[in-house]
Amino acid sequence: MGRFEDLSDQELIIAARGGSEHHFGELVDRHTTMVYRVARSITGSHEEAEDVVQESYLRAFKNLDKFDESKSTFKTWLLTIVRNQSINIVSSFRRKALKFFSDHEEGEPELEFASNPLTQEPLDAETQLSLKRQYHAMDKALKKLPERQRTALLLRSQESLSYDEIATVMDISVSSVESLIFRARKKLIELVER
Amino acid sequence: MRHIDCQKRISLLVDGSLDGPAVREALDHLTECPDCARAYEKMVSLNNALTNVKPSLADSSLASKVKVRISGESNSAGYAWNFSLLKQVPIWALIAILAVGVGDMAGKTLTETLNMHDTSHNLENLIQDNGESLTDVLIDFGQSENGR
Ligand SMILES: [Zn+2]
Repeated sequence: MGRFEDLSDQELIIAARGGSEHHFGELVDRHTTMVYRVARSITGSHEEAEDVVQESYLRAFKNLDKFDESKSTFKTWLLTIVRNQSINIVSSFRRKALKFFSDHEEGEPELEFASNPLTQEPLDAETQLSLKRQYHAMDKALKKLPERQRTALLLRSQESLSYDEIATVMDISVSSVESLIFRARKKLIELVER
Repeated sequence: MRHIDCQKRISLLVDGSLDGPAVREALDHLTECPDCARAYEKMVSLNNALTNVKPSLADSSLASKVKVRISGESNSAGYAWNFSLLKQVPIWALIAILAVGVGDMAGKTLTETLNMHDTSHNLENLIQDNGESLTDVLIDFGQSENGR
């Protein structure tokens, strides 16, 4: 959907509200990786994260008229939906029952790790493999944090959201965001040092 | 400043979320407090590690799945819209349309009913005509469902 690359999220939303699913498609292309990462970190599951991504976009598409650009950006609005959907899945009885009765190992998607953000050069296979190992080790440590700490930290460190934006997504105060991120860092450092 | 407050400020410092005077104050504290200096270094390393292991999806198949579903959704939203138009038609008009339609089917076998339009004559080859009317078929179906 390269022809819409120059448009801002807001311009895309205006067109999508007018009924253009192609403009909404550009928003999907733009944010899916971020949305997947956030859903994956909350649910801890690739398959559930995929479901959350689909349901969240569908919900966003159906409720575009309710999106208020004076209150938040599309990105924070979408992430609010994603977090709520992820929490709903994690706390559902159906999920707990499935986890309890199933020893099913789910497949992991093919993940890629960003090159040097400045040069955007692709990484060689060896570096990719080493990053993949580091990712799994970090993932394991992150899973030991309470969801709120983990989400706040990742929204800041990986998705570069401001404290204000995180407060909006998580529906808490900015000072709570500060505390959550600080506690998450402290705990992670303890876990790494152990 | 209490030590714990200072460490919380260091977390803000790592994120660049302190304003000018507070940055200077925090940096001054780092020069005189080895504990906080160590905490700062660790938080910076942790932040770098988190940024380094930020994965991307290797292909766009998930985005494609989403777009297919959105497309399906906007099509079915179209049907819903048509249906809501239908709701605006007065009920007596719907009854009249139905009465004419059902009257047209009276006494006809299933194949005859389906064959009323020229375009559907090829259905003859697909549906076996046992001489049953549409009502017979529905009654049979109801009985077999109840018998389950
Ligand atoms: Zn100190």
